[in-house]
Amino acid sequence: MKQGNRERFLVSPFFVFFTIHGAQLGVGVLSFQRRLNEIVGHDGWISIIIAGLAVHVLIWMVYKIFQASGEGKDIVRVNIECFGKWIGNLLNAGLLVYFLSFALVVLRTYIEIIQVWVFPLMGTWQFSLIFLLLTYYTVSGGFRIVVGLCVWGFIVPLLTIFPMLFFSLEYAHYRNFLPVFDHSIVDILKGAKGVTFEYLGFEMILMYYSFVKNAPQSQRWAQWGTAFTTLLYLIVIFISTVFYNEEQIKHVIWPTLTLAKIPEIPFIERVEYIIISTYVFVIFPIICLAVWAVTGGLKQMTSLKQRKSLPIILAILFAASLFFNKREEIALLDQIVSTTGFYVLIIYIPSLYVFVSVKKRFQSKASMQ
Amino acid sequence: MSIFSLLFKSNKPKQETKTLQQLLDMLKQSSDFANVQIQTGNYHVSIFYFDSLVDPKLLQQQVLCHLQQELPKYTSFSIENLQQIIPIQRIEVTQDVATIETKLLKGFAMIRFADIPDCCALVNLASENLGLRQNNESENEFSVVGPKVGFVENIGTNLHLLRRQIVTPNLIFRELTLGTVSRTKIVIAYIEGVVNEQTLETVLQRVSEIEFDIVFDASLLDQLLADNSSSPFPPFVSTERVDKAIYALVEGQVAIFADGSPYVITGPSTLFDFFTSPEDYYLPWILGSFFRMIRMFGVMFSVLASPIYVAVLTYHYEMIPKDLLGPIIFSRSNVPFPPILEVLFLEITIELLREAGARLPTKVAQTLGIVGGIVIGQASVEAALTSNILLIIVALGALASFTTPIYKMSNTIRFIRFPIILFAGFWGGLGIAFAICLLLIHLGKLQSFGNPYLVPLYPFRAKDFADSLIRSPYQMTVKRPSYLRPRLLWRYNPKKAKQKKDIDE
Repeated sequence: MKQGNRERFLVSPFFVFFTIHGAQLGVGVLSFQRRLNEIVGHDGWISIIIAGLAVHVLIWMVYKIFQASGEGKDIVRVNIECFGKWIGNLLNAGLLVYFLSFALVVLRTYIEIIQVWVFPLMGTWQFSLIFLLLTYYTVSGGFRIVVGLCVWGFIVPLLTIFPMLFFSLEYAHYRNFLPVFDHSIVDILKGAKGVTFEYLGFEMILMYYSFVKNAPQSQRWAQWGTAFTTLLYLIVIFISTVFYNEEQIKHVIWPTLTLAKIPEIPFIERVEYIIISTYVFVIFPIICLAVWAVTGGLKQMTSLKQRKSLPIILAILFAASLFFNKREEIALLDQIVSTTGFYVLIIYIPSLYVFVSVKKRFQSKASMQ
Repeated sequence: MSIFSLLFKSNKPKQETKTLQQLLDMLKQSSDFANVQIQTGNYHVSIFYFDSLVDPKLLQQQVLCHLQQELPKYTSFSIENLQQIIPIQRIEVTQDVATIETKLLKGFAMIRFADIPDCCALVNLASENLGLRQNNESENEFSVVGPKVGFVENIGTNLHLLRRQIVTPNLIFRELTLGTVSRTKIVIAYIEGVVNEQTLETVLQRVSEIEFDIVFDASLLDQLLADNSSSPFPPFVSTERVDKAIYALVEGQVAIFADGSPYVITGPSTLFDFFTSPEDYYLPWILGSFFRMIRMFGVMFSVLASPIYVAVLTYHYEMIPKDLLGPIIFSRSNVPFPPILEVLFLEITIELLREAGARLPTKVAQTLGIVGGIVIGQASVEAALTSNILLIIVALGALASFTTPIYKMSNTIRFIRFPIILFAGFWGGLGIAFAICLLLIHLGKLQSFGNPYLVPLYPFRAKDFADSLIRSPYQMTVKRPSYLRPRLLWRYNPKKAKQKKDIDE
């Protein structure tokens, strides 16, 4: 592919804000209060800030990795260059499987919410099928279209869902926050680990980094994206801490959705139906981004065209989504993916960073001599 | 396309080179092909023309009269000197049979002297306005304030209207001929130094690549030029208003005229272009913006109202508040259909009314509107086929869809709600969200002459919002929209004479 030709497929650095933020904000935000509450009680907000800061550092590392390894490369090439053909491709395959399972978790969890809250009798396959058909339509339009969807996935929920949360402040008990620092540092760090899943998704930049114009400059936007995610989570945790008390929240599976039951508008009751419907705009970019990342990675690894691998990937996703039916199974899947994600973030990215920077130092020394 | 071109390649008519005599023999088969022979002085002159295309007055007063009076005065006369005696502009002398053929078919007369039979003079005698309407009031895009002049079927008049307001040598017309049968004159207009060269190149290339037989209307071109032909959304604005076309040109767009069509295509267009009315610019900006926003709301309402009704009443009846539940139950208690059938029934009724109204003569259509709207509506409620509330919603939705100034777009809006209603019928609110998602992705994929359709929303251009959702005051729209990549960004030099108030000192 010629460089001049490729220019058309690139997106402005500014849009990294939407892809980073859009991929992070997913199904997790509907339910993370309960998990967090089990570990750190009402001090959850500290854990969120710590996790957010860690993600900022990780994003910085990702950018350093790419800067050190040269322009226009994506993670597939970097892995192969660093670890050799075999281990590198093994890592690549692992990453792709991880992204695919990330898409699967998001898809299946959202369908579960639909089934519990709106359509108890509708089969998983219906929603899975329509979701994946739409994914096909989007991803076949290329990366720019996926990014466009991320932009909509930012604007639409921000205008419709976000304001609904504030209605519940009417019943706020601000003393729920006290005493601050009621838990040990270890607990707070465990809590930070517990919200990994809420921050997962930004690592897909490993795949689309080479599709960003002036990619090094986009770091600012990537950091802002994460900062915005942290801010949103803080607002959500703030509202749910002052609204629920610690005992109450243990019995609510999706505290954010329950919060949405509170607002009353003269002509609409039960706003949570609107929120669950509009949540399509939040979920959909993540799935599209993940599927795009997987097909893009496959193209780099096996030179299989994206248009050809896309239906295969979607078929796998569709089949896989039918396997998980019970709450426990979905929760287990959730658990596995977030643990994997945690290790990808905490072990893979830093060690790759160290490896690449050490290698570069040696190379530059060698070239100096 | 490729398969077809392979199949038909062999059948393509070969360009035969005819001699002049063969051409004349062929044309003589037609009864309106006239041949006048005159003998004046030493000269034997024959004039050929199509009776049906030529203005007889011009022929008699400017050609025959002068030939008969002036010609005998010359002792030796060459055909090149015809311009000296015939007071008609641009007389062309040629031997090229193909040119002669086209010009004859366009209403030119061919003058030939007996001593040099191969060399012919072509005189333009076409009666431009024969059979065309003179009245050029813009009928379909009406505005209360502002000029009412619209384009007509005659391309000469249209270009004249354009030149009258864009008084600059930079306004360029490029002429092309299109259509194997109609040989329609197509003019691409743009302002040199403003329009983006790449865009212009795309337009010229696309237009010249079109293969078609008869160009009835510019809206045919609209479809043939489209980047993605399988989309319900119109790729380019087509307008019959002169002011709108001029504004588009000044902003850096390209306008395409086709002879015989009162509509002009302007592009590259964006989604917002279809919801702007010239009147927005004639009213103060606050009012202009307000009405534009009303129009946008109208579009959203028109697309979403009946699907939401379907979704809420089929699946999410919990969403209806207690106070509203009473009236809805009361009006729906006798309706035997599920909401989706009820909605489809009424929507299709409205579509029938609209279609019938559009096909009938104006006077009958008014009666039909009243009969259809009031009688059918009232009767179907009384017969318990639909509920009162739905009748209101559907009627409002129809009303709202007519606020869109561009007819093609308003049709699109009327169309896209049907799939959304079906989505809502299958998956409730979720279905609506799916459908909107699909719509947004589709719009994101669309392009107009290679320019993204959704700009300035995506790709996001903060500066270009000045004239999109709202119509900002003129101080803020001094610059041309940057997504058109104009070569000159400033429209004019704004005076920076801002009045200072005492509070600023």
